[in-house]
Amino acid sequence: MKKRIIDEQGRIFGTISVVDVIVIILALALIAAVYAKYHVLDKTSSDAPTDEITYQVKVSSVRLIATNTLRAGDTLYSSTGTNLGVITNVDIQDAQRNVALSNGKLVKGPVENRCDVYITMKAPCMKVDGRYFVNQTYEINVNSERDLLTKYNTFRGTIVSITE
Amino acid sequence: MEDNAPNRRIKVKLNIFDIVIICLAIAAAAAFYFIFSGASAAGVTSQQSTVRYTVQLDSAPDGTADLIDIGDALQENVKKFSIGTVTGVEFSQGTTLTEDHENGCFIDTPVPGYESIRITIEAPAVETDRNITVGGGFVVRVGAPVSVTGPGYAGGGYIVEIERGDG
Repeated sequence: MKKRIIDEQGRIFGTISVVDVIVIILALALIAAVYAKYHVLDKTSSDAPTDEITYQVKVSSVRLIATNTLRAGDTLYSSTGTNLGVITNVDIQDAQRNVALSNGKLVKGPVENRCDVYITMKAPCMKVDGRYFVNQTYEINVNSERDLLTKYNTFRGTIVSITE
Repeated sequence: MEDNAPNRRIKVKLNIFDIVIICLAIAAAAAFYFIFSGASAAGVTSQQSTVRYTVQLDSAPDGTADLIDIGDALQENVKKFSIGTVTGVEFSQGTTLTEDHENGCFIDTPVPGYESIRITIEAPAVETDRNITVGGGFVVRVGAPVSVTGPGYAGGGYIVEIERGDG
């Protein structure tokens, strides 16, 4: 007599329940995902020493009013929610940008009613193969542009310096 | 006989062990979501509050500010979140940044026929240490773009100011 794939009691080939199979598949998928997150996706070794670094982000040509809510002591986050450290200083300067003159030359000129903001950050950081990883996973590089957040602000800034 | 019935139904019998395993699987899935969603930051607590913030609508046609009244209920135009009630309106000549190639600078140039409107809004909010949310889903941050609709008008701009609760 041929065995049915799923018998009348919901067991595959009369041995293991369909529900048990689903649960086992879910459990295996979860184990694989956790393994991938902590052993494959993580770029840094947990054995690398963590030091505090200082880095600076420049936000260009913003309205002065927008800087009122940027303060030392605020925490900075990446757009995906990674904690990127604490703001230690907010330096506001008149905005300047390159502009082409009618004779074709480029000069650095003021931007009316706008300011450039230099945000200094302190954060725990790992240095692995010369690369800086804030909070173990978020790599920072000079000249890279990032979308950043505080509780009260969102902006795009460029990392301009990293100091150990 | 039941075995020969054309509409035989497969019975799935659950015993106590199946139920225990299902509960464990649900708990594991919840933990998985918790770990991977980034919501696992320790001590994420929220509190109810009232937030006052200002939206600046740039390049609104002249006369738009006259349509905006104190007390208007505003919605965000994309997902229709209720983002608060108007408590103040100011407007000025609309401007845009243009390059002055003669003097080598950028200037705020008046845009004929357009005005810049600042709307102060008050809304009940849920506040955590990471963000302020109004209307059940609209996150309020200076610099965030917003598309606003009110009774009979609409406009796009940015959040330019938030009254911080910590002074």
